[in-house]
Amino acid sequence: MSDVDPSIALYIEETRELLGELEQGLLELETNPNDTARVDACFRAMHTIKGGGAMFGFEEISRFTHDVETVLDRVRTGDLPVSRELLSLTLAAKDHILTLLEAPRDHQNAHRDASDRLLASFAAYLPGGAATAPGHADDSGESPILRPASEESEYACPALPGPPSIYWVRLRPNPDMLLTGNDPVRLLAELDTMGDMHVLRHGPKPALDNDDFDPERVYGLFDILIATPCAVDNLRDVFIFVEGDSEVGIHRLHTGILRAADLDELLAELKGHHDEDLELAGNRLEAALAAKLAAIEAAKQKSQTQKGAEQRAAPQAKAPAAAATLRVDAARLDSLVSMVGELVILQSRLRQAAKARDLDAVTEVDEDLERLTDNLRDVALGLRMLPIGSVFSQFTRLTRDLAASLGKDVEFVAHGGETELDKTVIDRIKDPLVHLLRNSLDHGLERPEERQAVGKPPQGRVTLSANHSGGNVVIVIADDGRGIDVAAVRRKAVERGLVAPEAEPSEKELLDCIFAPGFSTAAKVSDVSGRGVGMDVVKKNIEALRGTVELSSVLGQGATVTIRLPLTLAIIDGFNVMVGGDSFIVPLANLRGFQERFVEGQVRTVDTIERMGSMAPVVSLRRLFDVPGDQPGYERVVITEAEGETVGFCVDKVIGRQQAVIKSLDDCYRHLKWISGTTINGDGSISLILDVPQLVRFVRGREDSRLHAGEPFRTLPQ
Amino acid sequence: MELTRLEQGGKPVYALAGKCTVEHAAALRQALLEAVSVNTVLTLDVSGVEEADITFLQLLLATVLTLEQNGGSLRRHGSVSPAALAAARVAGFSHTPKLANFFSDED
Repeated sequence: MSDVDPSIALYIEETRELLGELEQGLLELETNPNDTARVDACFRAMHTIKGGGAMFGFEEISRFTHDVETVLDRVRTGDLPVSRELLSLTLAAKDHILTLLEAPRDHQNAHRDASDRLLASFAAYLPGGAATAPGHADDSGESPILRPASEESEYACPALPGPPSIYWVRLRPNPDMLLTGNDPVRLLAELDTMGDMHVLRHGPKPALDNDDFDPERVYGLFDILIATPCAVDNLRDVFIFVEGDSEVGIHRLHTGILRAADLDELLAELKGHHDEDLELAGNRLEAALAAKLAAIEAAKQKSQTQKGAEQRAAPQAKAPAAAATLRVDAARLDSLVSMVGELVILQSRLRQAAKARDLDAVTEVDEDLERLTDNLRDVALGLRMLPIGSVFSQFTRLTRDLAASLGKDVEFVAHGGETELDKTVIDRIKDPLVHLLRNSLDHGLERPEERQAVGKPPQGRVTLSANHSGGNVVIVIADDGRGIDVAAVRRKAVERGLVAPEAEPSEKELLDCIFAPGFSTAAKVSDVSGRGVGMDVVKKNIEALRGTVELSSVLGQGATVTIRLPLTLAIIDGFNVMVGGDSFIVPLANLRGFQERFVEGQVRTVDTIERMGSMAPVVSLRRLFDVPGDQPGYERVVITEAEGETVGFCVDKVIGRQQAVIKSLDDCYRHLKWISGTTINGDGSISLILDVPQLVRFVRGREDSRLHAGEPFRTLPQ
Repeated sequence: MELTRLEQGGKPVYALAGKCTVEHAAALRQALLEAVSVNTVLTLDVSGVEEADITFLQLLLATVLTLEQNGGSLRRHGSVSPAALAAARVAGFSHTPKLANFFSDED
C-alpha cells in the first residue's frame, strides 16, 4: 500500500466500504423491496464508485458501473421493480467491481470480458431492455417479476413479448426530400421514440463555400441501429411517406440485447462505405455482428470456466491479506491524544521530583503513571478493536448464495454483531467461520421436504452469535438441522484407528474426532464440503489465535459449534508466579483466587484440594515441568477456571499482578500449546505465559496416557 | 431566423435565433458565408434556435469544413438549445467527428 498514491489508496478503501454497504443494502432489499431509502443508498454508492473510478484512473470500473448505475437509477425512479433476479445480478456486479478494484490497474482490461458478460445481463434492465418496468408487485404478494414488454411499453408503439430486436435501418434520403415537406430529422426523431437508437450519418459533406452546395437539399445517408421491442411494421410506418423517393432498408439483425457500446462499434463498421448497396452493407454488418456475438460467447464460456475453477479453488485459497488501514472512532483518538498530553505532564513531574530527590513525589508519579498506562493500554488496544458484525454481514450473502445453490431454504440470523474483537483476530477468524457455516448449510440443514417429513418447518435456521464472556469472545454457530450421528462418528473413528474398538469414549471425545485431519462422515462429497478437509484446519486456525473450538449436537435437532477467542493478541493482564527460578504468567481472565497448602511426603503431579466445600484438582507445576530445586513445604495454589472447570496450580511464590506484553514463541516451540507466549519482565527476565485451558488438556492427556500404561496416577475428572 | 453579431469580451459572437429550417436555409448560408469571410475562428451562439431541421445541421457541418479549410475552427458560445440538440442527436450530427466538440457539453 505504501507504493500507492495516498488518494488512490483512499479511493480503494472507500470503495471497499461502499461495496460492503451496497451488499448489505441489496440483501436488506431482498426482504424489504419497498425500502426506498435503501434503494437510494445503493444508487448513491454505485454513483460514488463510478465517479471515483473515472477520477482515479479505474477506467474499467467507471465503464462497468455506468450501466449498473443506470439500472439502479431506474429502480430509484420507479421505472423498474426490485426483483430477486436484479438483486442477484447487482450482487454479482458488486463482486466484479471488487475484483476490478483489487486487480492491478494496468491489468484491468483482462477483466473486460467478464465485465461485458455481466453488462449483457444488465442490458435487459436498461431503457429498451426486456425488463420493462413500471411494475409494482401484484396482489398475490409474490416478489415482483420482469413484466413482459407487451404489457406496457415506454416506447411509442406496442411492445412485442420476448426480448427486443435489433434492427438496422438505412435511410438514404432523396436530395429533394425537403421539397416534399419531409425532413430526415423529423423521421429520425419519430424513429427515436421506438427504441434505443444509434445513428451514423455519413456520405457527402459539402463545404459552405462550395459552389455546388445547395442548402435546401439533403446530403449523405443515415445508418441506424435500433434496439426495440416494437414490430417491424411500426418502424416501416415511420418512412411510409418517403419510401417511394428515398432508399429505405429495414433489416432485423439480432434478437436479444447488445450493449450500447457494441451497437456503436457495429455502426463504425459501415464508416467509409456509404456507397455500398444494401446487400453489401448488410453482409458487412452481419459479419461484424457474428464476430461480436462469438466474442461475447467465448467471453462467457471463459468467464464460467474461470468462475468454476475459482469456486473449486476457493476452499484452498489463501486468506486475503488483511487491509493495511483501519478506521478509528475519532473519540478514541481524542482520548489517546489527551492521555499523551497527561504523559508529558507526568514526565515533567517525575523530573522535578527526581531533581528534588523527593521519594514521596516519585511514588505519587509512579501511581499516576500506573493508572495512566492502564488507560493508555486499553485505549490503544481499543483502536484495534472492531465490531465482529463487519464479518457477520458478509455471511448473510454467503448463506443466501449457498442456500440457493444447495436448493435449501435457510434463514440466517446474526446476534451480537456489536461485540468487539481485535482486528487481527477478526481478519483471521473469517475463514474458519466460513467453513463452519458451509458445513452447517451443506451437511447440517436438511432439504425443505426432508424437514417437513420429520415435522420441522421447511425453512432451516442458522444462528451466528457473539458475546463477551470473561476475557474471551464466544462465537456460536448453531443450526436446527439433522445434528451429528455420534454412532456414525464412532464407527468412522474406530475405522480410522482414532478410537479403540473396545473403548467407551464420551460423546464430547467422539465429537472431537471430527477435528482430526481427513475425518468425514459425509456420504458424498460436494463442491461445498464433505471431503474431510477443513475441520482440522479450522481447529488449527482457531488455536493459532489462542482460541478453542467445541462441537455439540443433538441428533435430529441440530449442531452447535462454540468458539472461544481471546479479546486481543497483544497484551494481557495476569499474575506473575514463580516455581523455583522459573517465572510464569497466569492470565487474569482465568484466575479465580489463591489458596495455600502444606506439603508432606511425596508430591504428586495431580492432586486434589478442598475449595469452597468441594474437591478441586491441583497440578504441581514443579513436578509437571521438572523444575530443579527443593520442594518447599508450603505452596501457593493459583485457582483458575477454564472451560467451566476449576483447576489449581501449585507454585512457590506469587509475585503480583503484571501486564504482559505478549511475544510469540519461535516456531520451534510452537508444539508447546500450553504456552501462549512469553513476556519480558521489568528486570529483563522472561516469563512464560500459561494458556490455562491448553495446560489443563495437556495434563489430562498426559495423565490419561499414564493410566492407559497402567501407572497408578490420578487423572483430572472429565 | 436571425444571425446577430455581438461582442463578448472584445470578440465577435454570432447569435443564431428563431427557426432554422429549410425556408431560411439559403439566407442562413449567406449570413454564415459573410461571417466566415471575416472570421477565421467563428463563434456561434445557438442557444436561441427554436426549431432545427436537416438544413441547419448541414450548414453547421459545411461551416466547419470551410473554416477548417482556411485553418480556422468553429466554436460555441452558450448552451445548445434543446431543439438544436435534439435534431443533432437523432440525426447523428452530434457524433460526427467535425461537430462532436461543438455539441459535446450538451450531449
